[in-house]
Amino acid sequence: MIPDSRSTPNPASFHTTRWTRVCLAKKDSDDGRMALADLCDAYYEPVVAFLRCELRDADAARELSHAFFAEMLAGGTISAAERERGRFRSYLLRSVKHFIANQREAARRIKRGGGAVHVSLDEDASGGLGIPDSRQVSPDAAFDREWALTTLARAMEVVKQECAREGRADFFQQVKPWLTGDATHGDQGAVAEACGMSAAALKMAISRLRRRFRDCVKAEIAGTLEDAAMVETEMKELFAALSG
Amino acid sequence: MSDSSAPPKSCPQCSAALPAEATEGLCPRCLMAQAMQPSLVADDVMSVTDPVSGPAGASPRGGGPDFPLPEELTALLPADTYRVEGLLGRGGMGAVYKGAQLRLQRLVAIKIMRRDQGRDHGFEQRFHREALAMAKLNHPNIVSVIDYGEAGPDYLYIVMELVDGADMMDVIRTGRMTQEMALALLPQICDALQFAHDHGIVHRDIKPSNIMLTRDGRIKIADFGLAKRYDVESSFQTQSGTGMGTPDYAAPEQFITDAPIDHRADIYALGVMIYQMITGQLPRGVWKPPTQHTACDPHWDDIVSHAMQSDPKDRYQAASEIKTDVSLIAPKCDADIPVRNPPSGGEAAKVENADKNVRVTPQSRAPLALGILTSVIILAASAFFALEKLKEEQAVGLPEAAPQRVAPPLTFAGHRYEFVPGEFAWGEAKAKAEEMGGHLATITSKEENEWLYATFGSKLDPNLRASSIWLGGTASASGGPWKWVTGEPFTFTNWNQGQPDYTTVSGQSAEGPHGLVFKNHKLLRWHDDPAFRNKSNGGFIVEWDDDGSAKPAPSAPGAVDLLALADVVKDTEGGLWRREGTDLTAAEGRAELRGRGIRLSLALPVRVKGSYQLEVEFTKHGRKETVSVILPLADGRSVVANFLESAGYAGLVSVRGFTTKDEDNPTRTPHQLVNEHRYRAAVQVLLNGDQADITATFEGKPLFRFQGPVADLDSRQFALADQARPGIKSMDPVTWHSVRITPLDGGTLTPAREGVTLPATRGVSPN
Repeated sequence: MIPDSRSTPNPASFHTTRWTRVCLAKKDSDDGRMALADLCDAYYEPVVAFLRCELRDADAARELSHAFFAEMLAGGTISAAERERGRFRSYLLRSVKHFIANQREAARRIKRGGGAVHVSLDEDASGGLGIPDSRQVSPDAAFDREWALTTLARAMEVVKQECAREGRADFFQQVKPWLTGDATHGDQGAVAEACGMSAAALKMAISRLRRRFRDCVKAEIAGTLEDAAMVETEMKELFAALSG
Repeated sequence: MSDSSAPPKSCPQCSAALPAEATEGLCPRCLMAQAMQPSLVADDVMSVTDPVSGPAGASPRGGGPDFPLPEELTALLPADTYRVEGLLGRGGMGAVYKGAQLRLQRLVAIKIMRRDQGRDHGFEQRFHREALAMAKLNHPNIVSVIDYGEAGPDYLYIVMELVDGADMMDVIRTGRMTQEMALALLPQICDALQFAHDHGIVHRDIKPSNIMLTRDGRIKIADFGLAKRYDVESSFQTQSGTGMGTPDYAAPEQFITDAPIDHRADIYALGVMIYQMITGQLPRGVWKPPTQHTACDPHWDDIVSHAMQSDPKDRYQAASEIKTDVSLIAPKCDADIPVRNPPSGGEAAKVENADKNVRVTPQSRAPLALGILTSVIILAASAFFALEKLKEEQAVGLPEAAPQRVAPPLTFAGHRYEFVPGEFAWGEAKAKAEEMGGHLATITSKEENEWLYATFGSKLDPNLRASSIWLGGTASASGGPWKWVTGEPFTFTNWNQGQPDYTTVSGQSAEGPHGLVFKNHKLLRWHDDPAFRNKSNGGFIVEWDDDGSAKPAPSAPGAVDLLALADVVKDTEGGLWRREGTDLTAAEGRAELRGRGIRLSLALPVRVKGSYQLEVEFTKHGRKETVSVILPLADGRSVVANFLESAGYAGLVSVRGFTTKDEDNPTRTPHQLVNEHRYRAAVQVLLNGDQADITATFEGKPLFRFQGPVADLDSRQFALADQARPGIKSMDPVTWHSVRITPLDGGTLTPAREGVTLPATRGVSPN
């Protein structure tokens, strides 16, 4: 996985609750389509991760992801019935599952001369290889994990860009390890000195940066939810996804 | 608890290995955990009752913008009852102050909480109920509640006993938690939990930073029943302004809204904490059992797994059950006879055979062992506090700290053995054993065989048939013949005729070469391993053909014993040093010197001019960190010779600006040292005009050599204050047994300070 391949958010659109926009948009409206395109662009990698895990083939995963998003954006149809209530994450996962189910179905029809074989994705999540491997994460878990990483990367990028705009790019690089907590990441005194700050001022600056990062993560997550009150629940799930 | 092979890059926060796709190189899990904190939380969450080691830079006395200043709080509390003196810590829900209870003239901790917590109407009622229940909990291992009430319109307060100590997280974080310590602390923790549970109180936030360690080696659980219960019904149901627990220790049911939480959530958290105490890491994802992280008693695996079952019904049902199982693990005080005591029940049957090798019954050992343990813990605790205090005061050299406990070497028939955990191919294990000055263990008698199994059999994973430990037997090609790495005759036969599980080694048709391993089936089994080229994760046993007892160094004539002349106060430049007989031991040093690679340094009390030889003998106790000598050169220049540096190299620092971390340093040599082994090293420094020829030998063998201009060598920031003085330094505790210097080729020695008298010998000016 290449972290750089996660798209960076456009800071201008950051605070828009984009999933809400998609959900509220009338069918086929430009606004809804653009909002969906934004979201798909942002959360491209989780789909690739899912397909990579599902297909066990990185190239095929890239190709299929491309086809999936192309179809999804071309259709641009998110009807209320399809809409997984509340979360873009669930919606996207569901959609990609449908997509590959349809693909398989089509492949089978060709092979078997149109024989209708019903395939439940839920029962056949391993992609039919049938080799249980406890070290292998499930495609769903890979999707969620990548989702969580994308969320963090996007929030981090916002904070990083903000710092850069304020001419504090170096400060960000020096201080970012403390975004994970208070453990020893090095000599804070030396960093303070390097940044020309007092120890107390550095501590305050770290505190602010953390708060900003925290807000950005929450905003990023809120952007994928219909109801912002679900942020905490979603966060817990993403945290759990990172623990696997 | 010894460190194994070089760890992968890991998160300094949670110790977990960093995934390749880490966000900005940071641990994604810790980032998310941080992001999960409520937005209103002040970031400097310090442990509640830890006046000793709070993070530097926290507001020293005030409550910050969000909380009242000490004098303001004094005014808010009942008149003439308390005097609030300073802030100890603050978190999302409130702040903790240090104060005095005026009438009883004792120090107390005063915790305040905002009254508008999450607009939760039941909050105050629950708070009162909890405080009352807590006040009734009178247990030596629980921080007691003294008083509670309302502090002005905005806050509720609770007055608690002030614990004079540090929290267990500090002990774990600084690598001081040993299995012995865990064995002594856990029964107290279990007792306290059981007591609270019996009184209907669930802690809900058991974690190392809530376990206080007092100076006399006892534990006290802090924040009992308080933090979690009054926030909101579910610990993790966060609303704005209310706190989130610590997800790492939370039982699965605590993540589910409205799930009933009972005392078994504490059992789960205790399981996580035990795992962390034993391995130093948190069990995350599909976690490995403790024995796969560190050399420890296999019963820890069972205890941890039993406590951490997802379904509360499958866990231990009472803290007292954990205590029982922990008490069955015998401390390894006599390191040569490890005891494997089965826990009660089914496990006993499984390991019964293995226990035939145990020579001393657990019953006869237990009382003695516990006695020893208690003192070890108290010593460890007092050493810890003495050192922590020292760090604060930046003072140097008081003899109050307890001596480091040095494990006796594991010896059999005059040979010394040590187990090295980690994942190695046989060839790597062989090379590492040789770097350590020994060789992979060989077995030449039935007795040695039995002793080795009794001593090291517990390192094998009983749950894994493939578990194996490398030994020094090898077959060079298919079909043998088998040889020992030492060249000793390979006469291994089926010594244990009655026991079919003992298998002799015979030539195998499988493609060679083979390495010999210890295997764990039901009993010790000799087995050649066709997967020789694969790595074994079971580590290896290294053997030295001596018993490790102190050997007087045959030093060059004219050598001056510098250790005898050194003064642990006047000559130290960093750290706490002690004299024990003729040895000097450097204990925990000053963290702020770490960046200079020093932390524990001593400038030997002589000035050197010209050529000389420096011989040292030392034993290291700490982790895999730097051990070095500082070598004066010409013109106020010096260079550092590392015998070990954290990445596993020896060499001079620096050569043309390259440290031993750089491949371009020509003296960089892979080198490993183990703890509790007495090493002998010498460095010869020959100076001729602007040219230097520096040769280091280690255990009598060449280690590295530099020949070139003095100008290429530069210790810069690693230098001592006086660069003409030789020095010894390390990052972690080391006992220096001898440091001798001999002037060579017309080199001279002069005393470096008053009060030093040098013996009159060649090249030495007595004063």
